[in-house]
Amino acid sequence: MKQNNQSLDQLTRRLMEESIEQPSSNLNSRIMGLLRKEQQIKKKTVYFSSLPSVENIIWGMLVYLIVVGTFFYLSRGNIAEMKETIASVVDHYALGIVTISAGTLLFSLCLWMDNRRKCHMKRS
Amino acid sequence: MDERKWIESILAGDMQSFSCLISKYEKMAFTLAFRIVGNREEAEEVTQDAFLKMYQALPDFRFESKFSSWFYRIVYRTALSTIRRQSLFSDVDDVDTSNVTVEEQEQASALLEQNDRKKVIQKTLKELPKSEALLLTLFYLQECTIYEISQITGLSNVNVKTKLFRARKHFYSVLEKEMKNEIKDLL
Repeated sequence: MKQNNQSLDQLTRRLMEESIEQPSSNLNSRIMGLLRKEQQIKKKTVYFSSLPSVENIIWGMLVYLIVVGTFFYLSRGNIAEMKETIASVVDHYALGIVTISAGTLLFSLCLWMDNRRKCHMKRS
Repeated sequence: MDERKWIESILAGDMQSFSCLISKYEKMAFTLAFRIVGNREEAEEVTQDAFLKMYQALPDFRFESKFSSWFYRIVYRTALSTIRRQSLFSDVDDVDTSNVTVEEQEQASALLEQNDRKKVIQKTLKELPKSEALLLTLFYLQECTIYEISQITGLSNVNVKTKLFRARKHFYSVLEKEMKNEIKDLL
């Protein structure tokens, strides 16, 4: 019984040798071409290595506001005028400040998502 | 150069070694894909995708299993997603414990003498359910062990053995019919 099974296995193996399928002759070069293309696309993708902390972002924004304040103080030099200036800055630039803050937050969010995706790719 | 060295070279950035790996496995990968998807165009796409996936996953390959089994599993999963199925195998099988008959075996042996046997065998495999053709290909053509097949397909060892036995029986009975049809056509 066992011998019969073995000879049957041998016969099946010989028959199955004929069943191999032949792919197109250029399959190898097509795969290599696709791979090179993918690598070029990958090279264009930029990943930020680390996410700035919330503390750093707040400090960055504070420094930015101090620089702007100093600039106005130096250019006007008068406290009364300064108050007026700050009021007018807030009045004129409030929209700008909001936009910059929103941009900073959006940038941080994108960085966070980018890092998350990178971690996920590493894991999978 | 052995496979391990090829893989290490690929990881070091040598694209030529990857081309060598493709040359070694393209026929087997294509044959597996063809058994599952059933047509040449889609089988080539599956083969391409499987090689690209393999390249991306190569840094995670730890040489804990045979490279071929690991790669065939990628081909199998890629082909399954192409035909949008979770598995090729049904849970419940018809119980068929009959073995290959002497007549079937003799007919098959006679086929080895014929020049056009390739056509008959390919036709026979097309007649079989995809799952059976795949198991026969993995075991008899790719020479995978039962354990390796269970790793590739996700079936248990016992299940692989049972299904393989049934597939072989089915292969011989369909082969016999095909040969009779061929003779009829000749007459």
